[in-house]
Amino acid sequence: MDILLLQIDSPAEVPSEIACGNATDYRAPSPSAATNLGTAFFEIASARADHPAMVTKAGTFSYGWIFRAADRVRRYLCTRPGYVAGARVALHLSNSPEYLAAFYGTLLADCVVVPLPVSLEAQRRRKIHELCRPDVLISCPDDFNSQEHPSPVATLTLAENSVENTSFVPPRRKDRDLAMLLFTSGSMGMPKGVMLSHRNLLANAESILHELPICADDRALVVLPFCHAFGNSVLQTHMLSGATLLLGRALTFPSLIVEALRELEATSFSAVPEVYGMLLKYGRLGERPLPALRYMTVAGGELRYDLAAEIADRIAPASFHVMYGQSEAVARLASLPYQQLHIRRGSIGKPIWGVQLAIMDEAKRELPPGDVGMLCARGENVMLGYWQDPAATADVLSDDGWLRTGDLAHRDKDGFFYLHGRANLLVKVQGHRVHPAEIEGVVEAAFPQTSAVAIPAARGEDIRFILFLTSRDDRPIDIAKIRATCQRELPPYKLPVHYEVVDRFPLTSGHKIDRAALALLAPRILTQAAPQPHARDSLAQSQ
Amino acid sequence: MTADRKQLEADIVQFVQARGKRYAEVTLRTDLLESGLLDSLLLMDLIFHIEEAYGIRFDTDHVNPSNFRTIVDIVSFVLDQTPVSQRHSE
Repeated sequence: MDILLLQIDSPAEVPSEIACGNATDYRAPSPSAATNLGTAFFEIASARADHPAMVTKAGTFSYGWIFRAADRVRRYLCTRPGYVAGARVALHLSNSPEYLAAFYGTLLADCVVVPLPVSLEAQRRRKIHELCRPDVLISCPDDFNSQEHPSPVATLTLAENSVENTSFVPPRRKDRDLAMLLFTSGSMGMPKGVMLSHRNLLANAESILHELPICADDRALVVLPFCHAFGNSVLQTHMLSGATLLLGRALTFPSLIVEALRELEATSFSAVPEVYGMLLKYGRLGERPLPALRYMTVAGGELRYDLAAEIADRIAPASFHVMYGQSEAVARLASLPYQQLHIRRGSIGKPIWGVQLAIMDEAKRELPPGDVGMLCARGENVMLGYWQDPAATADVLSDDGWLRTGDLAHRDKDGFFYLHGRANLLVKVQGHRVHPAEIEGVVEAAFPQTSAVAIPAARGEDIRFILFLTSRDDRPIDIAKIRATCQRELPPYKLPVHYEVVDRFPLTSGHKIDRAALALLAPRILTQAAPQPHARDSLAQSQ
Repeated sequence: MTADRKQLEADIVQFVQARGKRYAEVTLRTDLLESGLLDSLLLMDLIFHIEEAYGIRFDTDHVNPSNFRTIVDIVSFVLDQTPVSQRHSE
């Protein structure tokens, strides 16, 4: 695998009247007219060359700049010895202009993008590399871990004053050809590569553009990572509209998100439920007017109705859109019209334009309104399948194109859908799909005499894991060692917040571990575990 | 007061270092913002931990970069918030 590091020389100067976001009358062509996502981006970038595509703390990057940078990446990829169309190119990049250049450059080179989270644990990244064998890994000096990849590194400077001529060489891949591999957690906890075609990506962008009022003058403040299905969807819908993505500073702090919305005159904002929880608690959202804001969206997990209602209330007259989706369908599948938020409490809404949703039983028969069953989806956005895993693909995707989402749901008589939990063990933590086996496997691999069960539990408005442990051979369990292993191997969102040793696991009548019984213990354990009396007492008793 | 601060500092350093390899080198004065280590998950966990362990409540004004830039800043904030009566009781 070759490694390419991207470095930025200087952002393009954008004429100030355009940079200020003065209204233009540009209307991007419909994504459904395109057959290749890279070509669709090129057409908009040529028409919008001077318009800001991305604003960062380093400066403003125009569509022309991003296209020229993408073209440099394309040239690098196409002139490499051993270049073949369809080769996988892994991206190891945070949200940045480099990400855009690498993403579209890869598509324009007729290669397949494999975006990986920068914070992904090394073990899982190695597993993904083994599975899809990328030819090239693209990163940048800030995101690159040289200890992990000792192989030779090439550097490409993305300069404004490049002497090379930029050219557009139409890519040949199109429609149902693979464009992107999006790795997510499968129903058994192993990484699965969701295969998304050009058609899938273009179709979902088209659907969302029917649902949300995105236009060419929009300025979306971005906190979602582009390597995530929801973040990728925000990226594609805005680039395919000729709009602007805003990357703010220190957006960890809820109050700074609100300030950035004001100062950068953002017209929209999208985030996972946890971020909205923090915005309500600590963000002062709604205290000062946000005149530029037109709408906000939530997806990537369930946001409680009362919180959704409060967000909607605080940002009015801007609208709040509750959406639902999954990586296997590019990103989004359903949306609740904001006028219905208070009427259809807790609903994920109706299928978005171009998507069919149905509730089915085990025999794949559609169930009537009110009955709970498997939520299934069909449409041009539904993936080609899982990368090199026909068995897992057959589990979720039927020949007639219906995708089993793994979510249980019912529909009301008016066609609004409501979720009822998962049919498998997958859990959403901060928008990341996590399978308990990912945590259990790390512990059991390092401590074969220990049996581990990870149970999700609500902590505040947050979902986190409790790890139940039992010994297979009656030797005592060393929690400190197990905790240290987890800390070494797992990213923070998968780290158990509590470790509980039990004599034995409760079993179901089928002699399987009774996870439901353990889940009932979770709230009490968290309440007992939370305060650390030593700390509080010592603080109170000192002096 | 000195003992208090030391104990708090040790507790928060341990809490942050326990998040894995990227955090193992964090010291009292590591700039958590510049280093990019303070993501929203760590912020949420720190608030939860401090509220539960030290019985204080964060409000909107408290959750800002100046209180969370370094562990020294976090500890100073916690000490400021701990009611004097509680510190002097018993």
